[in-house]
Amino acid sequence: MKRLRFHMAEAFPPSDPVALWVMNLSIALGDLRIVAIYATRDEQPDAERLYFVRLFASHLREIAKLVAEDHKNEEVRAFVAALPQPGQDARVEVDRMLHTHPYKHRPDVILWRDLKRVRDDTFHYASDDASHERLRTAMNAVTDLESGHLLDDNEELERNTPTSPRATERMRSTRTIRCRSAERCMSRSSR
Amino acid sequence: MPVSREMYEPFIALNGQVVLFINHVEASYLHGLPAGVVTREDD
Repeated sequence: MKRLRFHMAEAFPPSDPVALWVMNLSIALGDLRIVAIYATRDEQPDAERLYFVRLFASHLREIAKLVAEDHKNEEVRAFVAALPQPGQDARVEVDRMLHTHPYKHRPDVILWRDLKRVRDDTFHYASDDASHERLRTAMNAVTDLESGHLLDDNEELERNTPTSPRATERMRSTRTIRCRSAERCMSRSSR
Repeated sequence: MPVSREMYEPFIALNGQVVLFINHVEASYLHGLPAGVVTREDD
């Protein structure tokens, strides 16, 4: 295995717009490498997977803009235009994928717009009429589902906080049982 | 709520292409730097 070594000031001068752009992408790449592992790992509670999938989509939305959009800076545009063919092909493929309809059960949804929706709902929460309507739709979809909270020894709602490792462990081991019959529905610990 | 794999499968596919593109960008950028800025060593 080989290692490439360089001094940051020589390889990535901050005044160079191309160096700035490449550094931006390198930071983005580091983020993707982390979040992709967490979003797709085999074993994790559904709530954690849902969070990391939302985070994954949000990063992809912002990074795709860096990759697929035309660049304002002329030197960056020239650098991108001079990339070897495999690099050009990868960029074209990113752009193509962003404009596909990849969901079998939501055939009208375009990936690019779905990434925006997820990003907005993740970081802005429900904050405008459209997102309020999406939240209402989601709430309506689970109206016949019974769920619950854990109570701690003081009969208070058990919180999953960094200062409460026991609560964290309990939450991780808890599975909400979904069913159509209220009598059979309850939240319970799997232990 | 369970998260269906269909929900994030397209993200995985897009991620693969984005990572591929950035890898090409990084390699091209480093390759294009003036001689001596980047040195290769055995790891």
